[in-house]
Amino acid sequence: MNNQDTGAPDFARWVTARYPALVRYGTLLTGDRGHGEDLTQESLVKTHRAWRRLHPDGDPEAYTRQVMARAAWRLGCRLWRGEVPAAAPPDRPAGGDAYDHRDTADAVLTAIRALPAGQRVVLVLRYWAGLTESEIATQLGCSTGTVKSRASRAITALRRADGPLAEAFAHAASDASG
Amino acid sequence: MTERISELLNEAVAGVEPAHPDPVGAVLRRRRAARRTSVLTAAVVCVGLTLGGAVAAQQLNHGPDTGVVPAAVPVPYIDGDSVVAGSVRLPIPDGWQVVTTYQPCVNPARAMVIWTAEVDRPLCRNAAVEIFHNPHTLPGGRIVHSDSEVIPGGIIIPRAQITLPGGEPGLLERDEGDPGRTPAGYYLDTTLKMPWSQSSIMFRLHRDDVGKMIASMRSAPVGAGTLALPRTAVVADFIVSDATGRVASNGFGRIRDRKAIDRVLELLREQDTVVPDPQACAGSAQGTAQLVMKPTEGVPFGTDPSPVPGPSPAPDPRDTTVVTIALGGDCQEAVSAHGGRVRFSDEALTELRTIFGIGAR
Repeated sequence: MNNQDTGAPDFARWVTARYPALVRYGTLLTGDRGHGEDLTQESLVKTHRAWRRLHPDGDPEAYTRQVMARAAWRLGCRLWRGEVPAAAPPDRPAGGDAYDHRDTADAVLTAIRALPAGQRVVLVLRYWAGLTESEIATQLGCSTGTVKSRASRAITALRRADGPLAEAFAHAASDASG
Repeated sequence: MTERISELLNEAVAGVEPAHPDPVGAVLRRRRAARRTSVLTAAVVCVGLTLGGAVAAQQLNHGPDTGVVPAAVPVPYIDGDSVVAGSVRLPIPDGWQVVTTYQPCVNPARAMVIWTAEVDRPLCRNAAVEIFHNPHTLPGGRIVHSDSEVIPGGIIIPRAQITLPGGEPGLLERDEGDPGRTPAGYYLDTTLKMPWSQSSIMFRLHRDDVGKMIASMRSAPVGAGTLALPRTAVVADFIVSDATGRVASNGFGRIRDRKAIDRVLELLREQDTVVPDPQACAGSAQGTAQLVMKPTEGVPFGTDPSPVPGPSPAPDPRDTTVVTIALGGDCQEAVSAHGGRVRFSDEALTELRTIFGIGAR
């Protein structure tokens, strides 16, 4: 593997350093670790392609995150709907209470995976990345109204009384009142 | 509710680790596969690809050279045995506890608090280290010359510009002398602002321990390039302090004249010798000059609209642009809070002093 092929050792070093964080971001954008890693690698291909203008005088991280958000926004519902990769097959058939024995992290991922891709991406950009509505609209190329409505629907869905996060939000409410 | 959602999302991925053992190899294999597809496509539509390639090549050659920081950085989080704040990793010392805003701690003197919510005070009070997500560019600090007519309300003493291991720039509050303890037994706090990582860390530690903790940090900066600057500004302040943090009564100035501000921006853009991360050298033994450019006046702190140029993603569109210059010696370098670090010439510094009337009063 020569330097031209790797796009310079800098690219390899940068990917090695930032890959775990990008996979976490991808996991939130897709609601699934496997899809998140897939999204990360696909986006890093674009970063590699653009590396000469991103390094050392640009910002490969910002570029990659934007590529990831846009890809999840455009492609999420089309390519990944209903398909959840797993490292190993389940050891028991699905059935009964799906949320038995799951911790909060699993419940959150399950809940955001159930959201439509558009709602999920807006939720992550708004509440995890901390972007404003207008920044999200700019990043995704949509209107601020679209961002507001998607965020609102996502929150409503997550807070549903019969949803997997109802208990987590109930704790938050009782903590706040206590 | 907002904080709770943020906490839940953080918690959801805190334990997520990549499954692929060789991400670089995986990415390159995908790239090669994409190339093969491109070659096949080229055989079919060679004319179109030639035209497209010419356009692409033109775009590549026209790559931006301005340093940019990420449009948004996640709230600091724990990653293994470190706390990650933007591009900076702060190792968690053995025996220390890391908690978030609403979590209690056993011993505040050996605790780190990650502020995950805006509250008056965290449940773990007076922790030795507190870590903040801080997207605003103004570093804050102690106010002096509060009776000034040049800058009504006084000026904030510029912090020392330092270089964290790995190259990330930091703005560290100057030593106020003897690091005495408060009546409660804690040391006075010292804050390190990391503008590129949109984070800050407050230490309630003896100065020596602050130094050790900063030396243990690691960074992989992402703001390299020439200075990210606004297109224009309506008001600009320039403040010069020596290495002890002293600002002379004629050591600061304010301008509003459009031509003068344009000249200041031109001077900054002329400084085009980018400082690569390994060569960054600013340290606390140097004096500091700080240039604060605001797009408007008379609005509350941190809510001004930003004049940051379009192609540069701003940490927060309401932020003011702050350029800090480490003064003197062989390491005179300037950093923009929005990204970019360059060598700064003596001639440019002299002209800035003249424009702002520094030393003339």
